[in-house]
Amino acid sequence: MKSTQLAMALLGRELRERYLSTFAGLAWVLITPVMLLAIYAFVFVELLGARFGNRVGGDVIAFLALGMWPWHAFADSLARGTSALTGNAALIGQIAIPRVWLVLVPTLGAALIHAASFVLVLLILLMMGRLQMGPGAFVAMAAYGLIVANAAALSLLLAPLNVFFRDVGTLLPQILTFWMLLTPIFFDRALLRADLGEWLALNPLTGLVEALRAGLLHGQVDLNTLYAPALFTLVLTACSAIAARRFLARIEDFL
Amino acid sequence: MSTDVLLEVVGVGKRYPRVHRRLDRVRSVLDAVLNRPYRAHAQILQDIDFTLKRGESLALIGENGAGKSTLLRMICGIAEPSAGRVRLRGTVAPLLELGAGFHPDYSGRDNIRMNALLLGMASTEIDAKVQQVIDFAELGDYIDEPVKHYSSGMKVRLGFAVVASARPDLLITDEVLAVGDESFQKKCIAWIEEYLREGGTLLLVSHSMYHVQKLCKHALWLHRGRAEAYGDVFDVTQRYLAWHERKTAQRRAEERLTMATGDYAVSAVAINGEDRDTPVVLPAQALLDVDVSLHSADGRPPVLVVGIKRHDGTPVYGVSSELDGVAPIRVGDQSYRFSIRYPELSLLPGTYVVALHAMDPEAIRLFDAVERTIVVTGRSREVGLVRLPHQWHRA
Repeated sequence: MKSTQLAMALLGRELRERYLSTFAGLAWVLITPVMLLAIYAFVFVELLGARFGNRVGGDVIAFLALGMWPWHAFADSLARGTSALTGNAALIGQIAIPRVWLVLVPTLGAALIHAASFVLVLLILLMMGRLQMGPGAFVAMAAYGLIVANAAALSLLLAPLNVFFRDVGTLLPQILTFWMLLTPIFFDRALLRADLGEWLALNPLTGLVEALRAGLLHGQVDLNTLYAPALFTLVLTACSAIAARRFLARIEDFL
Repeated sequence: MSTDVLLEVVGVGKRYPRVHRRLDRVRSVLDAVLNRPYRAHAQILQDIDFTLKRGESLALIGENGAGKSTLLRMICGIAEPSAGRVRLRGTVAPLLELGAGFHPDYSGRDNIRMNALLLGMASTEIDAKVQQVIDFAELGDYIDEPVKHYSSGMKVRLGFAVVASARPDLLITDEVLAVGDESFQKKCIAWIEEYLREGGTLLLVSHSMYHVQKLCKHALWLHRGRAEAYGDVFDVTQRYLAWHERKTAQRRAEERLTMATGDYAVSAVAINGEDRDTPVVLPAQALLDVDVSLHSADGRPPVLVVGIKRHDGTPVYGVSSELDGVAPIRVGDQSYRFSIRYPELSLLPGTYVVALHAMDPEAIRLFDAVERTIVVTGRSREVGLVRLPHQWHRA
């Protein structure tokens, strides 16, 4: 009970810190998605005239938004989680605080902020008539949850590795950029060459982003698309937990 | 582990990996990943054993770099021991560093809540005690200001107030109280004394032997990462101080001005029969006999000056054979001997130096100087150098 209260307090502080010194405060959670949607609409639809297959106009925005927001949640959560231990080096040397929380709190804090932002985007897209809110939405929620779980599991692995070698934190933005380009955010895998599409299926986020889109854009309920990513997430989480247990005990030696 | 044992430290050691060279870092990380001892390392602590029962108070003393803070960090769960084990059966509240755990951008009130949660307090308990903490810290309206605007003393007050409200099973402080102003220090010490009276357990790191002797019953002296002495606080602190003073004396001896020209010199000294150049330990109010042999090149009887000073050089008492009109005993053509006795040495416990100077028979010129260390033991907490005879009168 006391541990939960501490975890919640840390999470509350994490959320406040994100917007502590800003004029608009937590309103940024609402402002950012509206601004980004407007920018995407202007750049992709008005300037570039982008189309994915037979999708044009608002459908392009919906397609992009359902890839971009989950990706941002994943990338931001992973980046914050990975730098959590090096960023809290002084605190780790001063007080006894569960180190797992130091990693998971910023990861989950970022995920929560992006989730709130995503909900607003979904409401806007729903009002635009671009989404189908049915049972497919639950598949989308599960896919979103698995994306966040992957970010948390990877953070648990990378955060101590970043303490051992700071190169991890330096390399991560480049890796994330490459990973983003290998995830079907700006393209539809169905429109790619077949062999290339199969290779991209090895990316664990591919299936999750596609299941999320299928659930919300077409109302599809195909749980089979989630089994492999869910299994991957489970294995990754187990491996990360085992590694973190060993690594986190030693990080103070390297900070 | 007996139920009244709160803390058990068994064979604890700590090694930190050497990580500054790339190759060392790679090897150390590999050792960490494979869960084996670091090959390239610095040994900070080794073979530390002690137990602390509920209601006891233990001081950790030693030079800077002896490993005191590292040991405390392992007891608090901040660092992992490289060897041995630490078992704590109860709650612990550490005051290790100034402002530790405080977020500079948050107000004192916000930090009270977070620090209390970190100490294991429940939200309801914190709600009930917030005002008590604010009152104890004496921060007034500053309590709603960001902690980054606080002075060092204010941070200590806030930190101590939170710890005090937690009433932990084990209280750990590491010199942080030295930062606060005198009145708050007194308040903290009064609180610690009450906490101990009520059965609390204290682990204190301090360079102030006054605080150590005042607050603790036992002491552990750490020297270069090892336990040098462990036991009664007065015995251990006196040994520690004696060691310190020997170290200082050794340095001074190298700088000592030896004025012996060969005409008159101190040829031998025995303190209470001990003629070796090692500190002589004697209890307070004991007998002190000083026997000095002097060399006289021209055969004339020299004058002896005997002085007693504190280890830091503060003079306590000095007298000469010429002042007292005492002549030496001739023991050879060129040899003389003096014996001086202090029947009830009124020095307070501590380390002192007996300085012996050979002068010419006219008591004009100083020719030689030799010093010997004495350690006066006792459990007195009186302040100063000597016990002056006194009487209290009730008006």
